[in-house]
Order: sequence, then structure tokens, then C-alpha cells
Amino acid sequence: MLNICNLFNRRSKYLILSFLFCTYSYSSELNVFVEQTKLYENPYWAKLLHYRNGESEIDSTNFFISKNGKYDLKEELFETITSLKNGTNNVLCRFPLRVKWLKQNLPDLKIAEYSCEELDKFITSIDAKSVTMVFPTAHINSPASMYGHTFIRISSDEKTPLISNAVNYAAATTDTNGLIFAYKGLFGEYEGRYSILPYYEKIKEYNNLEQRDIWEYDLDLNQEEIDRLVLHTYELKDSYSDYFFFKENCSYNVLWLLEVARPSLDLVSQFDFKTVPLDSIKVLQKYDLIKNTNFRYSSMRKMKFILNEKIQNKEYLKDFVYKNEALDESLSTEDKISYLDFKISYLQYQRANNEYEKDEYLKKYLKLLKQRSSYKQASTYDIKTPFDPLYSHDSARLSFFYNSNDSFELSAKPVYNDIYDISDGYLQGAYIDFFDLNIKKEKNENARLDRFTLLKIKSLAPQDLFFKPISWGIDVGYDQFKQRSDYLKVKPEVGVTFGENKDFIYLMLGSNLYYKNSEQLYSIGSTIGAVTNRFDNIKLGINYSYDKYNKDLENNLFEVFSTYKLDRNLALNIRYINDDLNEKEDILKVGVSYYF
Amino acid sequence: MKKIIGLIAALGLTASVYANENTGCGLGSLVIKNQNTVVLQVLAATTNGTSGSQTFGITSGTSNCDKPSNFVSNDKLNKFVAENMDELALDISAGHGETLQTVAKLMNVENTDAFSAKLQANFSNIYSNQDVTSANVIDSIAKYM
Repeated sequence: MLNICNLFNRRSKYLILSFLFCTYSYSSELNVFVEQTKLYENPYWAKLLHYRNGESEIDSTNFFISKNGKYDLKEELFETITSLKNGTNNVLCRFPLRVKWLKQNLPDLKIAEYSCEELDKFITSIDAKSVTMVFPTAHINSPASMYGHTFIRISSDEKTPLISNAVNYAAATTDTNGLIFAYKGLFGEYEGRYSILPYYEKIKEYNNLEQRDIWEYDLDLNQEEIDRLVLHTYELKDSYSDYFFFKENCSYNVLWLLEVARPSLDLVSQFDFKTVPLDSIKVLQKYDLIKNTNFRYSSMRKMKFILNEKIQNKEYLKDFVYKNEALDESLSTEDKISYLDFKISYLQYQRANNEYEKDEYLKKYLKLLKQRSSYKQASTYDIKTPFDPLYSHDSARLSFFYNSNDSFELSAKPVYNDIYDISDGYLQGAYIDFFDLNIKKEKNENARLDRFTLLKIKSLAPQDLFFKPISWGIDVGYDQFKQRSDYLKVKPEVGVTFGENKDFIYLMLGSNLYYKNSEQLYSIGSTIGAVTNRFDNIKLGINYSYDKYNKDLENNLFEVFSTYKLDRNLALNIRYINDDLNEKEDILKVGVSYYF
Repeated sequence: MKKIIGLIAALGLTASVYANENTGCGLGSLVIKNQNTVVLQVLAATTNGTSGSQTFGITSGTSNCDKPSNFVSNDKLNKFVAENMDELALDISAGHGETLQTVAKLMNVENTDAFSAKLQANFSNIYSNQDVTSANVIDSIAKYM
């Protein structure tokens, strides 16, 4: 008995030894192979780990197998192989695309049979057949959205896009304090996470709640690429990367998914200090990735369409909507239906803005729907698709001007769109600029800094019968007063805009605050102006402001301008300005702007 | 950058938060916006953050609502109707719309136009009162297939 035991012991020791030896030699062979092929230097390995500039952009440790994974691709690869062999953790099910890629590249890698229930369920329920890049645009008067947003939609059936899945990257926050919110968003204090939501929830959020139109760009990816995208999405679950508003934002991070889907794409490396959502879509076009464009209008656009284009007789509309009066019998059936359709959408809008309690809203809602259902005609809206943002000017601008007083100006800004820029593909009346630098060279003098705009927003949102948004503006930067004196300038404005579609008139009350140590100047005044985009490729604008300053100063400023689009990224701009604070009041400026 | 933040601080803002009360099963689960001010938007312009859901909540997950007697195992349909009750009501009353088309497709209805017309004519039976649940709605709709 004893002997047998001993024998058994000896044998098992031998077995263990030989097993260890075998694994050792197998693993060393594999390691040699990896060293020889330098697999860890394979660009796809770097993509899988979101490596750029010597480190991974993912900041949570659960995305890596090795301790040093964020900084060391080689160590991460060896540790991954080791853990796969040992089966010591859930790498197999947690990082399915990495495993798949390693199996393809390491034919000798032996992995025991395994199954991943959660992953399989995920793949089956996503059932990915096509991928779309989705771009919710800006909405007037909501600069929160002025740059737009992008996310990826994965669909299983083109006929039912609503039940697709939206893969979204966003900063996770519960902060409600504005100051903290802005600071953290700008400086990477928030964790940016990928999430999956039903597409219909995103539509409710953008089309119905925020009133933003949505552009959908179907991507030309094959099934193999789509499968990789799905697996990689799964790998990103529960991981995060620090969110930076200007660069490593929503649009930037969804590009990683596409790079992983198609290894030959080089997308994120094209963005160094800013990622504007629109630019991130234009990049896809360079690779011929966009095969189809679809426009999904917001509830606001639908309401404006009913209001401005469908209803023939608006006489009773206000009373019908606000006073609950019955439909006037003199109205045509079409108008009656449109009155109801408008009121129903308007009620949803009011509810979304918290103007009604749920119970009251539901009573009104069901009553209106019941009334609507008594008319047999179906409601359809033949809303014209606006200019596709894909063909708009790029976000950065370089301008060169010659002025009639024999001076030259050179200006540069990284983003985005101002009142002088052609509005095609941008939201008209919504202007936002950051870091606009203007240098001036006058005759017989050295070039000098003329103006630096830190932030300039203008939101000219037209009012109508029902919607009364307030127009406003803010301009903060370094400027000159009377051409020659340097000041810190702040200019807030508030006012109203009227107009439809392509033309609008605005009236603003504003204040100019110029500050420097020795002197402060402040004014109160008003501006009246108009802009039209009604002509193809030509924009026209006119404005007059009067400001009354302290120290008995007054300023009358009149300006007319025209911008002519030469090409998508090239425009000619002419301005006539009359400013009675200048030595020479009249000035004509002729310049060219290049966008990139 | 400091100046932007200074400016924002000076204006004294709070960020917008969306409240989605009572999701699913019945009517009235519209997402609503908390009141916010114009100036607030200046702030939001600089961040694009979200306070939305951060989960992996895929479309074909199961719904927590009561099951209809028809289409019991059609999870996609049950979840979709439960989470789009208001939108579906609107489409049925108007006789047209993408939510309605999606429901028709999920129920394998071939003639969507005839189906939509029938539902429109019977709107009051389908959405009989404001306490109607998604299971009630699916069962009612099934009668007109």
C-alpha cells in the first residue's frame, strides 16, 4: 500500500514535472515566435488597445491584462498570451476580438474549449448587419449643441431603424453645478464611457426633446468589419477614458470603433487638438465610407412646417391651441387635420418642457388623438431635406484682407462658423467661434495683434406665432478701442429675431465693456441687422449699431457685407464699414477666406 | 480658458438634467427637460457632457411589463411598444408614422396601409383610457391584423 502510494506520488510528481516542462517549452516557443515576428509592434494590436503617442487612451485598469498595459504594448501582449494559456481570468470572454486576432496571428496558440454565454447573447441580440454614423445637428438657441454630436448605430434590419442599437460615447456626470460641469468637461475630469441604447431613445432625446435634426450616414462596411466592431464594442464595456471636450470627445472616441472595424483606416490620428463632430464625418468621406445619407427632422421642424407651409388659414390657430376652442367649421378638412397635428406636437413639446403635469398632459393628449383619429387621412410631411452638412465648409478658417486705408489683416480661427461665413450645412443664425486671432499690418508700421477673440457666440433664433426664443450673444476677448488702445473686451447682448427659413432681421440690446488697468469704458446700445441666405452661394448682411459710452463718447457703426462662395472651402468677402470713432470713418475691406 | 470659466461663473449657472419619470408599460413616459435658462446654454456649449444612461441597454432586452396574450415571446415587440406608448398612439391616430411601421414589421403585417387605416378607425378602442398598458395595446392591435 505504502509502495503504491509512493509510486503514485512519484508518478504524479513526474507528471506534474513533465507537464510543467511541456508548457514551458510550448510557451517559450510561442514567446520566441512573438519576439521574432514582433507581433507586439503590429499596428492592429495598438488599435485594439487604443494606443496613440506611446500610451493607451483608455484610463481604466480593467481594459488591460498587465499592470503596465496602458504604457507597454509588448508586456500587455505577453501577459495576454500567458493568461489565455493559464485560463486564470476571463480574458477569453472579456476581450473576444483580441483573442480572435491572437488566434489568427499565433497558429500555435492552444486554447481549451470555452463558451461565453453573456457575449453570445450580446452578439445574437445585436444581430449586426449594417452600421450608420449618426449626426444630431445643432439646434438654434442651444449652443450646447452648436458643434453637434456623433454616435454609431448598429442595425439588424434596414426596414426597422428605430429598433437599432446606438453606441454612444459620453462623459458620465451627475454634476448639476455649471461651473464644475464646464471645468471638468474641458480638463478631462470626467470619465467618458461607451454605452448602448435603443436608437428610438436617442431619437426621443434629440428629435423630440432637444429639437435637433439628425443626419444618418450609412457606412460601407462588410460583414467581417461589422462583426469586429461589435466585438470591440463589447470589449469597451465597463471601461472608461478621460473625457476632453475639445479633442477626446464623443466624436473622437467613436472613430476608434471604425478603425478597429477596418484596420486600414487612419482616423483618430487626424485629430490633434480639436475634434469637431462634422469634421469627424468628413474624414469618413475621404475613405469613401459613406454610401447613403438620410435626414431625420426634429419635432420642431415638423411643427414649423405645419405652421408655415401646411396650414392655409391660421386665423383660429392660436385660440385653438391656447384656449381649447373647437375647430372652426369654416376651416378646410386639411386645415382641421393640420390644426390637430400641430396642437398634438405642441402639447408634447410643452410636456417635454415640463409645462404640464403628467396626468393633465395625458388627458389632453388622448382627447386630441381621439379627435385626430376621426379623420381618415394619414398625416405625412413632405419636408425638404436641407443642405447636407457633409458638403459644408471645414471648421477652421484662415482669412486675408486688404483694407482701403492701405492696411492688411490676417486672421485665423480653429472653429467654427460666424455671421460672415457661408451657412450651407450649418444652422443659420447660430454662430460660435473660439480663439479667433487677427493680426494687422498698417502702412509704414510693424504688424501687430489687432484682436483676439476668446469666445464668441451669437444665437439669432427667429420668433413666430408660437415659439418665442430669446436671441443673445456673448463676445469675450482682447480688442482695441479707437483702433489704438488695448483692452480686455466683454460684450453681452440680448434681443429678438424675426424671420423664416433663409432671411431674418434681428434687434439686440447690448453693452460693450472695455477694461484695462488705467481705464474702463462701458456702453449701452443697440444693434439692428438683417441677414439673407436666400441666394445660392451668396450671403448678404447689413447692420447698424449705436452705443453711448461713459466719458461722453458715442459710437455709430454701420456695416454691409457680402460673402461669395467660390468653392466648398473658399469664399470671397467684401465689407463696407463706417465707424465714427475711427480717424477715417469709411473703410472697405476685401478678403478671401480659406477653410480647412 | 480661465476667462471662459470666469465668465460662466459670473453668470451663475446650473446644468440641465433630464428627468425620465416612469419609463415603460404605460402612457406618459416622455422624457422631460428641467427648466433651464438661456445663459445656461453658454456653459453647455463648452462641454457637451451627458447625464444620460451609461449602460449597455440593448433594444432586444426583455421588457419588465406584463406580457400580452399574443406575441408573448416577441421580446422586441413587447419592449418596443412598452417604451414607445405615446409615440405609437400618435402614429395610430394620424394613420401613419415610423413607430407604427416598426410595430407592423415586428408583427409581420404585410399590408401596412390597410393595417394603419384599421387601427386609426379603432383608436379609441386601442387607447381606451390613460391607464392602458402596453400589453393591452398589443392585444387590441392583434385583433386588427
